[in-house]
Amino acid sequence: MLEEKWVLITGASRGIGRSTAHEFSRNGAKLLLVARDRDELEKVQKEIQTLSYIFVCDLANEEAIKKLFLEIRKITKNLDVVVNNAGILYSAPLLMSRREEMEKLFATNLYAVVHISQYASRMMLAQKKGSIINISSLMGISGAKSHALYSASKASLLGLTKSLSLELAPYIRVNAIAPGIVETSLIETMTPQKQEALKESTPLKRFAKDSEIAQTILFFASDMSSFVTGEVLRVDGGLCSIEI
Amino acid sequence: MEEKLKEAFAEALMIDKEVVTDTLQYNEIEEWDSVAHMSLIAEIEDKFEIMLDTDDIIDMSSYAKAKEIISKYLEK
Repeated sequence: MLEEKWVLITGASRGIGRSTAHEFSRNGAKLLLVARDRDELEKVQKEIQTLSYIFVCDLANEEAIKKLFLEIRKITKNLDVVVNNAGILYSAPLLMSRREEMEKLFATNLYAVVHISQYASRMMLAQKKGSIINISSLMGISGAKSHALYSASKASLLGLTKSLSLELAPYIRVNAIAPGIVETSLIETMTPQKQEALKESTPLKRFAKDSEIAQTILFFASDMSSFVTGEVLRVDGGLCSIEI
Repeated sequence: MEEKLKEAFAEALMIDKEVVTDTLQYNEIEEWDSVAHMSLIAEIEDKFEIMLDTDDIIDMSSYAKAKEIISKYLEK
């Protein structure tokens, strides 16, 4: 489905990003994999079959993003798909939320996505096509106790997605995915009892697998969604309102 | 440099090279709107192998200004 397409995936060293790299490679994409952890990125690179390049980059740093794109443009003039997956989780009650942490959170979860979209959209507009997929969160839609700032950062991606879908049309499609609870990330911090309670309140009675999120990303990346832009797709097993 | 820049303008905005003069201004011809501006930036970055700062993209409001900005990058 993605033969000969150049795809940039951030946060590619683990979780949804890593699964997406696998799924896209199986579908023939050439990959530009970005993360902070070189060792893990190298492991992903060894695991996949198609052409790939790895980039160690702290996306909270605007200058680092600029350098990343200078490197990418030495490799390819084309960029077909961007998956803005990198993000950091921040959990703190409102009264214990520190400004320094807020700035770190928004630098990665929002500003990095803005800067990547700025650089990527230029390449995509030059070829008059492209697809940008922003990974938000169910918390960005429904909110969650002790996750006000994280939820706000993920909600901001929804506004960004919808606005950019208008601004970058008709050439670039921009969509977002709002995963619910995924097996490998947030649940590690929960007690077994909490996990069971959440599964019980999820209509599909389980958590998502990374691969299920990756398949949804593939839908937005491919021509299967060629008439879809500005959309936010919940991938949450029916769990649209949660308490964590 | 000027010839290359004119080519970038002509190709990105899909206009004749003769139209690209110092008086050419952003949003003053229908071919140079906000979407075309991004294509223009991509074309300039490709041709000169540079990456423009956001402030310079905002400032690039005419062909004359573009010449001034690109010269600054080529001096670096």
